[in-house]
Amino acid sequence: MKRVNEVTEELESMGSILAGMSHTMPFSLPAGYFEQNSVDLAGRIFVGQPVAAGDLRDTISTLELHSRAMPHAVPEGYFQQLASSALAAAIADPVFTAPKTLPYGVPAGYFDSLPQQVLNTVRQPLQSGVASKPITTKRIPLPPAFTQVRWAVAAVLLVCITLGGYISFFSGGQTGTESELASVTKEELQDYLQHSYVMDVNRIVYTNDINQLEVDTKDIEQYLNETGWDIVD
Amino acid sequence: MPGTADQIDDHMLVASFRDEKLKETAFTQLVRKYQERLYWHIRRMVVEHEDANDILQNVFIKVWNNLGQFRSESNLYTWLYRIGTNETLTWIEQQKRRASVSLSGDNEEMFSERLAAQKDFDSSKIEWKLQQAIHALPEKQRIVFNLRYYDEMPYEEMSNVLDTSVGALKASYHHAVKKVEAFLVGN
Repeated sequence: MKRVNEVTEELESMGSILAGMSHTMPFSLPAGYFEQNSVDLAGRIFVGQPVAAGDLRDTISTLELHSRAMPHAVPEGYFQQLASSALAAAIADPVFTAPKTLPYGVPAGYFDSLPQQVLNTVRQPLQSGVASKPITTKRIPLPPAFTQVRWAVAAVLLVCITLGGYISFFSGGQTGTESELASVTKEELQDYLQHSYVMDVNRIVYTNDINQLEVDTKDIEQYLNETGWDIVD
Repeated sequence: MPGTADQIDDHMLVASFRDEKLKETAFTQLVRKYQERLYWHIRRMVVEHEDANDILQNVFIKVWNNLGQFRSESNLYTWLYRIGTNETLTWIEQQKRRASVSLSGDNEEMFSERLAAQKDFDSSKIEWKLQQAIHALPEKQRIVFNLRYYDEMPYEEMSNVLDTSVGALKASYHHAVKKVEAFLVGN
């Protein structure tokens, strides 16, 4: 009940027409009940405090005389007609009559049979044996001689792996790349560097404007000395 | 929405489900307890009974397969709605892809055609107009609207179902209400 109010209040706070659902109570009351019993109701509020009925009646009538009258004018018979006209307007509003029940139909007995249907569906894989069949492993019998030597084979393999690891990581020998470089002669290295150097200079000259290169005179002299060119003063 | 007694019932159902001897009985009870709420949650989104039924059965199959691993500290009701919502959104995505491949029309048209094909459909009646207005909303906004308006779900629970912040849900619901109103006024 609280939640329904929350939803309605929320819609009202948005000023939504969706909040305009029927909130009238269906229970009936004796005619003039609230008017006639106002003093009795007020008296019940002061439970445990002896208040004379005459005093309370006087107090209420005094308050009504002095404070309830409003200065604004209202068309004659406005409040008598207000309830019926508001109700008529609300009924004319389509949303007022919109029930929260959905207009869709459901086949007869659908909800009664659904649990069994679902249960049958989830049982199917079990009955067909697909899901319930345990995964088994086939054991291959080995000859008795093999079973006796298998521990010896395993031990030999373990020793080989250990030795291999030791030689690779702890022998202190040069790695493959280093030993390869060590075998290259000095002449071969010089040829390689000179060739690369020449190639590099050619690339610079052909792909750049030589005048834009910021090359120092000393660098040029050094280059010419290294490449066998004579420097002419 | 589930109260404390309901949550205790749910804990009992989950505990019973984990017992092989009680598994099927517990599952049947769970289906009976939640089938109508989940059914309407799905049906409001997909319109056709056959589709709602297919999705609902898939939901319960997933429940059967995963309830054993369900953590009791979370709310069973929220968990079920979450599965139902995800299954429904997946189904809608599949329909969209099919529609785009077959060039048979867009998604909104598909739902308005489905509504019009319903038995007793009457576009002059307010309940059908309201459904048309709701189906003009984007899917996630439609779910938020339905959960709040029809299921009267608190935002905190909705947040768990949709994995979205309470603030974002409030904003989404607010926009949805305005759009529904605009549709009803305009039509």
